[in-house]
Amino acid sequence: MDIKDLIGRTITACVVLGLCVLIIAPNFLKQSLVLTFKETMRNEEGQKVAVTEAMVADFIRDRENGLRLYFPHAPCKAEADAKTPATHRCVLSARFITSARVNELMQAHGELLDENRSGVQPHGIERFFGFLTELDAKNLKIKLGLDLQGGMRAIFRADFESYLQRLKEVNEVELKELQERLARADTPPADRAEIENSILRLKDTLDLSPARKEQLLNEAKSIIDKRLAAQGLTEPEVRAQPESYSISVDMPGVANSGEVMNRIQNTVTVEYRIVNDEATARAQGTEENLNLLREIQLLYREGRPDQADVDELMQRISENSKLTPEEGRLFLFWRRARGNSGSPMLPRELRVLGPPVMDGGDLKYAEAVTDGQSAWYSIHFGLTESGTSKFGKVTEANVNKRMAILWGDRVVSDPNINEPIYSSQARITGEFTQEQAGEIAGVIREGALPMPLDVISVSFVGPSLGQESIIAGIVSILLGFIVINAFMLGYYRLVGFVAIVALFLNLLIMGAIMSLLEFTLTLPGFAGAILTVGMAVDANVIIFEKIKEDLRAGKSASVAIEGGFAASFWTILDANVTTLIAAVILYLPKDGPIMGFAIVLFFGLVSSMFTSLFISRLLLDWAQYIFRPKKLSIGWGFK
Amino acid sequence: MNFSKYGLVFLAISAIGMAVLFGITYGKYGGFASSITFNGGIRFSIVLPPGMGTEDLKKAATEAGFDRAQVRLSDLRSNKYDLELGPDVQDAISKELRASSEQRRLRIEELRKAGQEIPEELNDQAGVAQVIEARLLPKLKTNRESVISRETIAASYGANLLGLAAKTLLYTIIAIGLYLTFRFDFPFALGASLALVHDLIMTIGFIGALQIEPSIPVLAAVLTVIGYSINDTIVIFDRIRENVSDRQQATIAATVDLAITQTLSRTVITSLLTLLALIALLMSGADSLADFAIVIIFGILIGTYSSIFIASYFVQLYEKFRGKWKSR
Repeated sequence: MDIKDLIGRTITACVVLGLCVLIIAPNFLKQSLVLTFKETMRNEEGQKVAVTEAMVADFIRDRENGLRLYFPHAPCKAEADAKTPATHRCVLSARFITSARVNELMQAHGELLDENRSGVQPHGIERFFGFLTELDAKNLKIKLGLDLQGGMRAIFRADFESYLQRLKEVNEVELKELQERLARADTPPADRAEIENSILRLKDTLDLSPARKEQLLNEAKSIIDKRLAAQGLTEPEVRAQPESYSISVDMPGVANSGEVMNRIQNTVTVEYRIVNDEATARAQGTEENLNLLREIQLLYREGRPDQADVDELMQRISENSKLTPEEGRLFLFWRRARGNSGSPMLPRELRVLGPPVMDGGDLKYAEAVTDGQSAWYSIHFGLTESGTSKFGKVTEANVNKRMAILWGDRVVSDPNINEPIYSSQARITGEFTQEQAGEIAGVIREGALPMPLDVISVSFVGPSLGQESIIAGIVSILLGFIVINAFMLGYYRLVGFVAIVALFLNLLIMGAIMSLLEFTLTLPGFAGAILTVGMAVDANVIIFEKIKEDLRAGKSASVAIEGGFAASFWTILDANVTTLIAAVILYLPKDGPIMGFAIVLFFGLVSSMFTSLFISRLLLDWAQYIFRPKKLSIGWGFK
Repeated sequence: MNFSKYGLVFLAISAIGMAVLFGITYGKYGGFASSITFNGGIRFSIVLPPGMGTEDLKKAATEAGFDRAQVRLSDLRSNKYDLELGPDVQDAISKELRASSEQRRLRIEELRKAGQEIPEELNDQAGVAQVIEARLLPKLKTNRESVISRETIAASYGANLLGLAAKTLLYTIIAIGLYLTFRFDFPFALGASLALVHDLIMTIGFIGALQIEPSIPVLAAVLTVIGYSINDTIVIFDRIRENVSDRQQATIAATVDLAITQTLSRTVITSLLTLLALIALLMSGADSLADFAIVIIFGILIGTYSSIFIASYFVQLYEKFRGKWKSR
């Protein structure tokens, strides 16, 4: 036995296992939950009242309704940070804080708690692994699925058939027109290429191919993502399920569906208004107004502000600049800071806008395009028939003015009208990055044709197991684990001990991989884990039985070990690879419960192959090196 | 041991087993059990009087004659609960309603013929939800005002999931067959795939015969059984392959028997250990895990049985029909 080789393998194993311990640790260590209280709240009459120190203290102590109901055993220690004094901020330290619990708390006490500045803080280890992501900490906690922690699941289906039906109606005329133009003999050859291109693009949009369906599904998903982002929920999960063309939204701990569902389903209106330049300049011209704008910005920067506060500030700006109703209404222009695409979307400018001149339905498509010449992107868009005539009139009357594109009440862009445009296609040019152009095109598309999102089902899931069952389940799994280990130890003696270590390490590696993947553990995932543990035991049993057979045939211990591993290698590989194939195929439809099973199975099998073929071997080699037994102790009658 | 000699007998036993399981499923129960997740049902949102909880609601539902009600706390502060009743309750009550409305129709006709006035209550047609409420609420000592919502739960999601699972399982079996053809030989691939189908049919029959409600844990259990069964079969096949190259002259039956005997201790130990762990799970008293554990326990027994008695017999059968067992 070569000691150098042995030490090399040991170091490899230690590095891998040490890393796993580090990664899995945040799941078991204490986490801190920061609670920040609002400074003011609205009372029952809708008036603003201050949140006093006494109110906070009462809430923290309250066992019936307050914090103690959710976290009975963990006190919340007052602690100030740069922004909030200790009277309005406290930190609670506990193990196993589930997102359901946090969401329940936030939903029940939204009037008191500032949800944007409350939440579980990343652990030191998670901050250390922050280099793995763009954020400053990598989440290493395994999330629990709704079936284990409870919450609301809504399943949406984007209604593609009617979406495409309407898309066809809107585009049919143009398609016919283009085809006629192409067929005419007098069309100049230079135009032909472009017409052919347009036809191709139109046909592409109208074709209900699986790829196109998936693209639409992802578009619907990003719409839901966008709307849900404003909710301040911990760990909502939006999954596109391409197999059933549906989107499932899991919201742990959410018990009250109304508001959230409304927000997801509500389509935001898109409209187009002409900018009143003179009034806008007046509004933006005074230092006082700019200060008020900065205040509004600050409100949004801190999270979802009280709409009444924003309205009040807007009102003051309007009054300061003596806006008359004829001149138009004041709006906020939202964008990122110039030259910094990573900065947040915030209201950064003011605009005074006239009445809507066109609505979202007047446009039919938009996309971010690049001409290959300039570094910037532009937005190419098409108009419907009635939209074209409206657009012609509007552009004719407003040359050299700007036209604002509004998403809800936010101005997202206000391109200048350089000349009257009478065609059914136009282009917005400017210094747009691909991302910015894509965002604006997305708004125009959303306004053009809101994708109908049907709710297939809303269900309040479990925790189907309930807290007691989960604990009972874990206890019994541990019990089963102990029974298996006791048997292995009794039946295989020293070698059995090796198997036990390998099994533990298998669980450790599996847990670490799940943590790194930010996996959501569900009941089927649990089943996958049980299966892999079974297969890991099996791999060890196969090896040991083979070694035993060789010992029986009179081979020496080292030869038997060598031969046992060599002969078992292909058996274990074949058995595992076959099951891996099953795991991969079960993963492919990407449907929640089955996918969870498949992922656990896949990584469990990989780690069980590693532990049984590498770690077990290493341990047996060490045992042999240290004890140098003439005969191996591997069970009854073979001492 | 002589496993191969009685292959046909075991095949017959399996066939009888399947017949019995499906016979019970369809003959005795008229099909598979239904569940709220997979078949839909009806859901009530009820505010209970202070002091009452999950257990009281469950008890009341049972007393009112609604079995297998699922109860969940949905809002702690208002003491609000969700009560879900499966499609069987819904079906039973609709049937009753149809029968009673038939009676009522006859009664109305009778009265009309006699020229008498039709009393008000005969015109009132109660719905399923009202019937359930009328039976349940007195047991809880509340009235209809405490029922906040009643809704029918659609089945589409669960139905989708089952179809999806069936489709992916089919693909899985085909892919495994291809891999085994590549690694072993076609007869082995055939044997393993058929054994897999055998286990699948048996397990599904078992779920039907015991009227286990389909649920996501049960689906997971079936998937686990498949994974386990493949593993078991491969280990034996691998030994057969090894033996074939070692003993070129032996007959196929002898080679197979030897391989099964050689791996028997491993098969028994592994199955036993897994069963022990599952029995612990079953004994834990977690109701919702019980179905899961029972299905896997049965599946593992069947998987072990099929890999010893069925899978390699299919290999031999194929070779027999092809009339070739050349020494390789």
